[in-house]
Amino acid sequence: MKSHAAGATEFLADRPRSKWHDDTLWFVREKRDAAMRTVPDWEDLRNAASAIKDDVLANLDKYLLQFEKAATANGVKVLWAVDAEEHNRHVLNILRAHKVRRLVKSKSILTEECHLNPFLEKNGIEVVDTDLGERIVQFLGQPPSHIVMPAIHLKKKEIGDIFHEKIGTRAGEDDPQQLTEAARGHLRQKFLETDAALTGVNFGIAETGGFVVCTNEGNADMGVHLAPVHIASMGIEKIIPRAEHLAVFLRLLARSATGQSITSYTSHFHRPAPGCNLYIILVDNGRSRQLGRPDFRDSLKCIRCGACMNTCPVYRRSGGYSYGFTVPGPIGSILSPNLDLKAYSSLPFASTLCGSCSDVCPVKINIHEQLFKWRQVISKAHGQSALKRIMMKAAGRVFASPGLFRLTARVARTLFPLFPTGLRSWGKSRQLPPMSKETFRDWYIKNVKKK
Amino acid sequence: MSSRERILDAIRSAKPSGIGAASYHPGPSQAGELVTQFQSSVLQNGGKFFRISGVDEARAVISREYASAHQVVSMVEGIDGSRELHPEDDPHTLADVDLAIVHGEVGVAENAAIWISESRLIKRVLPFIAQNLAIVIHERDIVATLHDAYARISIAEHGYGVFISAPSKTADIEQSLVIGAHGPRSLSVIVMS
Repeated sequence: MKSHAAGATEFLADRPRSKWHDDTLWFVREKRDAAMRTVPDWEDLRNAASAIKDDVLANLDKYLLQFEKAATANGVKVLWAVDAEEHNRHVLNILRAHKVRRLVKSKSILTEECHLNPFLEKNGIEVVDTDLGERIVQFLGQPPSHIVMPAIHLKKKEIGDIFHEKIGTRAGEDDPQQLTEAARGHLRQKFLETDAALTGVNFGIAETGGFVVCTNEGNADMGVHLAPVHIASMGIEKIIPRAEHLAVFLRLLARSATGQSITSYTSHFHRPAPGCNLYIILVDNGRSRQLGRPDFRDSLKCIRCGACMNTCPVYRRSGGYSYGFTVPGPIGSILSPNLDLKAYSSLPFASTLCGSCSDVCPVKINIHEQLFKWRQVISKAHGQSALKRIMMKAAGRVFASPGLFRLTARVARTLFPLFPTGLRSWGKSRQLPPMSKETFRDWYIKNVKKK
Repeated sequence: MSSRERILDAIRSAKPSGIGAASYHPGPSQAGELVTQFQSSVLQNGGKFFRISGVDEARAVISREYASAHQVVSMVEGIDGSRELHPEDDPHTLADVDLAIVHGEVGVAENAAIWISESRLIKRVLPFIAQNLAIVIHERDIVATLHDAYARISIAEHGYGVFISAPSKTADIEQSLVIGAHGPRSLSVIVMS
């Protein structure tokens, strides 16, 4: 599998685009900050959300059983899936039982994780992603590059071109208003024709057996209320114990994601509409394994807001595809090694460990500490490159010996600026700042110690 | 062994122990003019806000704001629509609705989220498929935060319920905000005292 650095190099080759991507996501981060400041008990909410999720992880089996019992009593059919393959088979079986040929989907990162679309298409089902960003990337045959803003890597001209080709907008039309209007007409037809709708789940409520889906576009509701069959795909970690906990998570979710105080629609499903069918598929797909890793289990607290991506200096510059995993960015880099340590071995290294991800996380996952811990696991399992090993060993020796450190500091400040830029990967797009004339130690002895 | 048992067994052997239930009880909500805060949240979300004193005035606001709406479905007592809606109707027949007028049960000042349960809609698709949406809510039903709202409603009482806070919107093309993605192109929130 391609390393993160290789993927990042590709994205960075288009300088104006990566700059726009960087600036745009930082702007979203600033909107998040502004929204956070309007909530005086923000830190209390984060602590509460984290503590509620601690309880969920410690009692996950009990909450899932409580959920199943309540949902079944509500007339909902509950299915369990050990892995992606079983999830996909459940979906296909449901669609076949109801003779469904067309399926509309609202955003579900879980079904991306399970690669549901290609599986269904291979089996003769027409699948239409209805979130605008997801429809755009579906037209292009791409996965989402961000979990909240799926088409954030694209420019409006590219979207105009694909819309011209797929839904017949005027050639060269790139006005977001016009393009959205065209998509509205195109997707409305799909909603009216569909036989079944699939949604993700933001929160499942153990005490009531219901679940909540959040959207701004209203696409989840347009789909499920017009179709006789609704399938909800839910990762087992999405459970929360009680209805009152929704207030805690909903106050955090949209503010962290986009800086909105809440999404336009927050829909609560408990029973199928009269004459309709409602299915929930509970999916493990590696989550119980992650639960058994004490250092990494807190990653399961994630509510998929994307704040860690928007703030990450690496994600902003390297783009979602550089990670090669369904969930990119810092949170994806601590989730993915659980699924395949070798394939995703470069991801925990795609970080400066600055800790900004942990600072913005609404459920207080210690993301940057987990990145560091995965690095240790990966280095033990697969080793490091010879160059890195030698450099680390040398650096260890230098830092362990004050005399050697002083000598190195003195020599390096003369030698380092003489290195050709090409040899220093750090200097590929930056100038080395001028070296100070004296070391801190010299300065300290001269100015502080002597007095 | 069934998948259900396999997953539950895997969880039981993996889960941490010794952690108890958690909850959050925020202090009393800050005193302030709830309707004013609610109004500014509605406007910030891209909705229109009207404060009126009775249903006659609500009718006047609606006929002024939606003069060109032909197909109107009203779920609010005292405001007539152009057609009736029945539980046995096919939801697809609502595709041509220009304006839906529904009753909001609880409104949240901090974010303009308005709770509407299935019992007030007859058809779940109504507030989504209509080209425009008007929500009428009583001033006494506005609370400060989502905590207060969840304390007032029972989410499982009806098969479906939704918080609506804004017109349908998207920013998926270069982060440009566009109102009217799939659902209503406008939202009018009418607060009655």
